[in-house]
Amino acid sequence: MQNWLNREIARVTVRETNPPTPPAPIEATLEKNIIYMKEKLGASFDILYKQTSIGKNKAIFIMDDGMCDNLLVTQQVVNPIMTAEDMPQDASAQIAYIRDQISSGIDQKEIYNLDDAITEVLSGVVVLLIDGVTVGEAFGVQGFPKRSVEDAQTEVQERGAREAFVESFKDNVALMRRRVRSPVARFEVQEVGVTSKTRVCVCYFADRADKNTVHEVKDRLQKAELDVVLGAGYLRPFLESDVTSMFSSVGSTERPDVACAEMAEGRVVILVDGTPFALVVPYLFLENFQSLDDYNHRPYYSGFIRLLKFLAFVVSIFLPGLYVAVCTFHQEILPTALLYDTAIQESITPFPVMLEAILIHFIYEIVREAGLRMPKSVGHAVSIVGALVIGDAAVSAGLIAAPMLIVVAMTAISSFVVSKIYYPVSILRFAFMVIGGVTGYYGIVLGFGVLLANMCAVKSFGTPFTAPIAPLHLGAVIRDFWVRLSWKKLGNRELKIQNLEK
Amino acid sequence: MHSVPKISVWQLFAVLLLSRLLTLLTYTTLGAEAMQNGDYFPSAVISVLFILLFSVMLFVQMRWFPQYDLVDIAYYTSPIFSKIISVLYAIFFLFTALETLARLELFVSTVIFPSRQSAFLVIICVVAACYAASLGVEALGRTGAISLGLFVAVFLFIMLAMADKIDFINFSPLLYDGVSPSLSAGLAAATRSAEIMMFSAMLPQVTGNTKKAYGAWLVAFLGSSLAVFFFVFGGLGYFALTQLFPIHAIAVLSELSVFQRFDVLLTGIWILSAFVKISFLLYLVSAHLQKSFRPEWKTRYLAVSGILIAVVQIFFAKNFSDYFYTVGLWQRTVFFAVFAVALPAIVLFAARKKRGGNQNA
Repeated sequence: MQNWLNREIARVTVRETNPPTPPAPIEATLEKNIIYMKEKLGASFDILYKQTSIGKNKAIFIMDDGMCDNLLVTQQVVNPIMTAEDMPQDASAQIAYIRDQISSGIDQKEIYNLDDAITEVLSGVVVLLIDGVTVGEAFGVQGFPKRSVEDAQTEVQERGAREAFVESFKDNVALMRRRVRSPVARFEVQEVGVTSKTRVCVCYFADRADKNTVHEVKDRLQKAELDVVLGAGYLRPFLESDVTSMFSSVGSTERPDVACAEMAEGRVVILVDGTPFALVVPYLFLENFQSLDDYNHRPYYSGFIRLLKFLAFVVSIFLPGLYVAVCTFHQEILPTALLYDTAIQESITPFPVMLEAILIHFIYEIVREAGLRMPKSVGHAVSIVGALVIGDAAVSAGLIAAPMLIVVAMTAISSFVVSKIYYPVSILRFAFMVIGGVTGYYGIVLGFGVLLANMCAVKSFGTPFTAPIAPLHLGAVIRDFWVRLSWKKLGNRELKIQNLEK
Repeated sequence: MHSVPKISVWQLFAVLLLSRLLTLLTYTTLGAEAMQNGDYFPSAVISVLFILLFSVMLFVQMRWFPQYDLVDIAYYTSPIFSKIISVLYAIFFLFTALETLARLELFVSTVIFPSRQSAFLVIICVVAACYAASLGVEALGRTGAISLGLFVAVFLFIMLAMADKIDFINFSPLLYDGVSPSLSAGLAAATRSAEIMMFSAMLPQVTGNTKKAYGAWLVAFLGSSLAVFFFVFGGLGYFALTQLFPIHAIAVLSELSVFQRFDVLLTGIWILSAFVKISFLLYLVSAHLQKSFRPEWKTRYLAVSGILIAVVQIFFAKNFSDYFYTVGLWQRTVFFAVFAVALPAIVLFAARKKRGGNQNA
C-alpha cells in the first residue's frame, strides 16, 4: 500500500532539477566565461550583459536588471571604472586597482568561480569579469522592490512597538539589531533549497543559546531536502518534534521585539528571506497564551489576560463538543429551566444536534475563509451575508436552534483570542463535536487525555513542549507563568529555556 | 545500545498516586464486607502498614540493586529465568489493567450510560490507552503529573463544597466492632496496591531520590484516604455505604453557592485517571516483553495487550466482574503476596547469591 502510494506520488513529481555540481572556475578567456554564464542563465530578459573594454582588455558587467539599484550601478560602479584615469593596463592589476581604489563606498568582494557569480547576479549584485584574469569582482548594489516596515497585522499590541518584520531579511536583521546593540547577538546566514537557494538567517545570543541547539538547527536546515523555499512554513516540519501533533513545536512571530525577547531566553530565531515571519525554537505550549503586552501592563492585569486566554482556548475547543454531548446524552446535567429552553429550541430543528453543530461550524469556517481571502471590500460583504444567513435566516427558518448559534458565536470569538493556535483549535473543535456526539462526555474526557498525552510527548529541541508545568519547574511557574512577577523582581535574570529540559 | 528514557521520580510519584487515588475513589460497595464507617479510619492506617510490609522486598531491591528492575536482576541469575519473570509480571500488569478497565466499565455503564452497550466505550478506552502507551514513559509521566494536578484541584473543590454537610453525628465510634473489620479492610486496601510492583518495575527509569518519593507516596496515600473517609462519612453517614460508588454520591450531593452537580468534574477526573493508569500499565506490559523478547515489537505488544483486555472485558465481563469484586480476601492476598514479596525475594536472593559466589571465585 505504502509502496503503491509512493509510486503514485513519484509518477506526478520530479526530483530536483538542479542537483549540486562542482563549481566551474573563472577562465582566463572572457568568451568562455560568457558562454558558460549564458548557458546557465538562459535567455532571461532581465539578465543584462554589458560588454566593454577597460584599457586594452575586454570586460563585461553582468547584472539582474530588476534586482539592482540602477542609480548605484551607474554612480558607484560603471562610471568610476570607465572614467578612471590611472587605470593600469594589466588585467590582474586592473582588478586589484578596482578593488582597492574604486567603488569603495559599496560592498565588494572577489569571486573565483562562475557558479558563485551566477548566485551573486541573481541576488542583485553586479559582477565584473575581465579578460585575462581568473578572478571576478562583485559589487553590492542591490535595489530590488520591497515593502517598507509596517504595523504588525497578526500580533497587534496595545502598548508595544508597532513595527513588524518585512520580506527582506536584511531589514529584519536591522530591526533586531536596533533593539539589541550587543555583540552577543549573532546572525548567521545559510542557503536552503537546491533551486531557490533561499537565504536563511539563524539568529541567537551567543552567551546564552545552547550551542548544541544552534548546531542542530543549522544542521537540520542544511539537511532539509527542499527544492524551492518560498516561506518559513516550508522549513517548519524540519524543525518540529518527531511526534506528530496538532500543535506545532516551532513558534512564529512577525514582531522583532518578540524575536529579541525569545533570543534573550536562549532560543534560536530563524529568518527566511522573503517571509515577514520568523520561526522560533524551542517553543513551549504556554507561549501561545503570552504576548509582549503582558510585560508592558501591570502584572495583575497580565495575569487576568492570560487566564482569559486560557479559558477562551478551552471554550473554543470543548464548548461545541460538550454542548453536543450534553444535548445528546447527558441532559440531566443542565439546570431544569435551561434544559426546557434548550429542548424546546432543539426540538424544532430538523437535524440531530451533532449534525447541526458540524454544519453550522462548517458554514462558519467557509464564511471566515472567504472573508480572509477576498479583497477587503468584498470580504466585509461576505461577512455580512454570512452573518445574516446564519444568524438570522437559519434560526428564523427553524434550521438551527438559537442556543447552538450562541455556542458557535462564543466559540468563534474565543478562538480568535488565542489566534496563534487558531488552526489546530478549529480542527480539534470538529473532532470533539464528533466525539461528543458519538461517545458523550466519556469520549470527550478520553479525547482530552489523548490530546494531553500527545502534547506531553512533544519535545522541541530537547525541551518538553508542556514545560514548565510538566515537568514542573516551580521557579519558572512562579516567575512568569500565569501571573508574572514585577520587573523589579524579574530584574536582570532571564529565563534560560534549556533549564526546562528535565 | 540506546539510552533508556527516564522520568523524574516525582513524575512517577504522580502517576502512582493517581493510580492509588483512582483505586480509592472507585471503591465500590459491590462485594465489600459491611462494617461501621468509623472503622474505615483505622483501616487506612492499617493498609499503609500492610503496604509497608508488602514493600519489604522493594526496599531490599532499592538497597541491593537500585538501578535495576526484577527482569534485569533475574538476568543476572539466568536469561531464561529473566524471561519467565518478565512474562509473569507482564501478565500481572495486564491483569491490573484489566481490573482497572473493568471498574471503569462498571462505572460508565451504571452512572454515565446506564442504557447503552458499553463494548464500544471499552474499545475506545483501550485504543486511547494503547496510543498513549506508545508515546513512551516520558509522555505518560508528564500526563500523570498534569492529571494529578487536575485531580487534586477538583477533589479539593468538591471537598470544599461538601464541607457544610459534615456532621460529626454521622461518624460511628472508632473500632466499635473491634480491630478485626479494620484489619480486613486494611488488608483489602493494601492488596489493591499494584503500585509496589509498578515502582519496582520503574526503578531503572527514574532519576531522583526513590526512597523519599516512596515515603511521600505512602504519606499522600494515607492523607488522602483519611480525607476522603472524613468527607464521605461525615457528609453522608451510613447512606454512603448504600451507594454503589460512595464517593461519586458525595459529588452528586455537594453544592457551593449556585454551583451544583460536581459529579461531572469527578467523573471527568475519574475517567482521566483510569486512562492514565491503563496506559501506564500497558506501557509496563510492553516494556517487560520488549526486555526479554524482540524490542522492536513494541507496537505489536501494545496492540496484542490492548486487544486481549478489550476482548476479555467485552466477552467475559460478567464473570470477571464477579471475580474482581467478590473473590475472597485471602486468595487475593496470596495472589498479591506472590508478586509483591515471593517472586522478588526469589529473584533478589538468587542474584545476591550468584553475585556473592562470583565475588568469592
